[in-house]
Amino acid sequence: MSTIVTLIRRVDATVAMGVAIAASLALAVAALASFWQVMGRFVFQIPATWSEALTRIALIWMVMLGISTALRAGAFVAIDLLRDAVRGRLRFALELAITLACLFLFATLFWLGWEMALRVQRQEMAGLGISMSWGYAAIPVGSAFAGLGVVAHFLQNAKRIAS
Amino acid sequence: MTGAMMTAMLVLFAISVPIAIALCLASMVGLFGFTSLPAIILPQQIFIALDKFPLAAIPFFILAGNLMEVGGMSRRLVEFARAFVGPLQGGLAATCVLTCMMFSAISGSSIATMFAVGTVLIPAMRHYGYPVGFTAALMAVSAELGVIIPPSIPMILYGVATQTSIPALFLAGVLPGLLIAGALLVTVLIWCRLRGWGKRDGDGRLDRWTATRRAIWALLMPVLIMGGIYGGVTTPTEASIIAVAYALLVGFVLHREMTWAMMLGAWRRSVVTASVIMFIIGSASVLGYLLNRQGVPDAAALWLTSSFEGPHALMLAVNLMLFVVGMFIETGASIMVLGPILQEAAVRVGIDSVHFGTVMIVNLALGMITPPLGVNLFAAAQIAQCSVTVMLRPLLIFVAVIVACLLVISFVPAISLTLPGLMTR
Repeated sequence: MSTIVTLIRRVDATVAMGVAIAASLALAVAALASFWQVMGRFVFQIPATWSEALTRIALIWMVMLGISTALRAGAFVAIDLLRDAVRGRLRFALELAITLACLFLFATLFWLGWEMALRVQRQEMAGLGISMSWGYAAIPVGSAFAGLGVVAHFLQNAKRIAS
Repeated sequence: MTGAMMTAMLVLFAISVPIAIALCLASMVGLFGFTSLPAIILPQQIFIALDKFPLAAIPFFILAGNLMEVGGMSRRLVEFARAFVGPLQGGLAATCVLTCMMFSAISGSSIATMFAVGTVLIPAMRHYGYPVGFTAALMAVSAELGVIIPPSIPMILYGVATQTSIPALFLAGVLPGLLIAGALLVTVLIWCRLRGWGKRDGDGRLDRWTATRRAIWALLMPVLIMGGIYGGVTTPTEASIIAVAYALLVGFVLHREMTWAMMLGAWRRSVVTASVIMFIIGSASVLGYLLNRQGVPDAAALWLTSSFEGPHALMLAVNLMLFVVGMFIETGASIMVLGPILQEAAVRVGIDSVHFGTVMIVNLALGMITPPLGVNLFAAAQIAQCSVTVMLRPLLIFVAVIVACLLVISFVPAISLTLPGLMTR
């Protein structure tokens, strides 16, 4: 058990860093594309056709990749009344239930998101001329990392509750 | 089906599942258990909900707020406000309200306002002898202005969810924001006089001219953002990206206070905050889609308009309900799910959509300072390093003041609608 835990943690730390950087880059791409759009409209007087589409896609990637960072940071708010009230085994069982609920959601999103990405392969994104799959792929990819984040967060918590 | 989804949602909320995730899981119960719709609707609706250009204003305003904080704007605004109201008894408490008001005009979220102003002012107020409970409570309450005074992220959400003009909503928030700020100012000044707090608050303040000169770039920011939108030059989304560019310019070039490390930190925090809000938009919209298919907004509007005669009764009932909802549910989720439903009812009894949105946001902002789920309270407790419990007593009075303002804003539509009315002319 403990070797598996260590392995998951080690992989997770590296992956977490990579995903956080990728999400930040996605925000940077969105910011630059919108800035270009504003410049195009006000300074060069030639509105760009691709910048708005690129901003939207980059932000969807930012959101989906950002979920895993947010989960690790505990940034998703919950009504913690019950969690604060229980101790010991009951607390552990509750944490496990929450983790499984989250995992179930991200597994479903991964699976359905993947199917959706395959289905829209032939559709073209207006303004960018690339396949819609590039946009929809953010959902399964982000969900996969989010699932990993959920497990990592649980392991950290479990250690704290145990001690 | 609606009952099953609501039950699932409440059970998940009760066992402390994060709200964004509970919303999505509840939609799955409805979608898979009670409809024959293809399962693929789930990712599709999330994608469609997020694939909107006006929503880009949310991450950009969050980013601009965080960049302005690390770029030294918040400290300068504190000094500016203190130079003017510092000499009064309770001047620092007044500075807190005024600075939050000014920072709200460059930031769209209350939590950003909280951290920007609170990290400077909470230690200062403690140093001048204010009790910790009062200080933290005042900060948590004043930071509410962040979502009422434009720009405002909840207003963008309401605008997108109910197809109401975002610029009109922004303008509608100005006078209610000033009303609340004014009421809080009067309250803290009287309070400090009664308790004898803050007699030496003016010590060591800058002179007005120096303080103004130092704060000038921060003070120009709202002019740039709002001027662009109301001059009819930029859309809110364009204004938000200009705000980001301006914040970088001020931080790196004009104040020369921002380092690359500070910028990257602010960048990363913005990604986290924006992802959470936007994931809530995605999950809430799946739920909204299913409720819509069931005809829930229509049925709810019919029930509301027949149960409560006329706009006043409806307004009161909705306010009561939102007050309770706000205690438990996060603002973004409430707006995305309840906004379209309640707005439908309000419009039918003749309440203006912009006025209703303003009331809804002021009410839900109250939810940020009411336990058990009051995000501003948690943030204030974290900065002041105290427990939420010590804030509760002073909080009662502040909540009473805001509730009074909320009722005035609810029943005097002119406060919200005068400025947007000028725009359309």
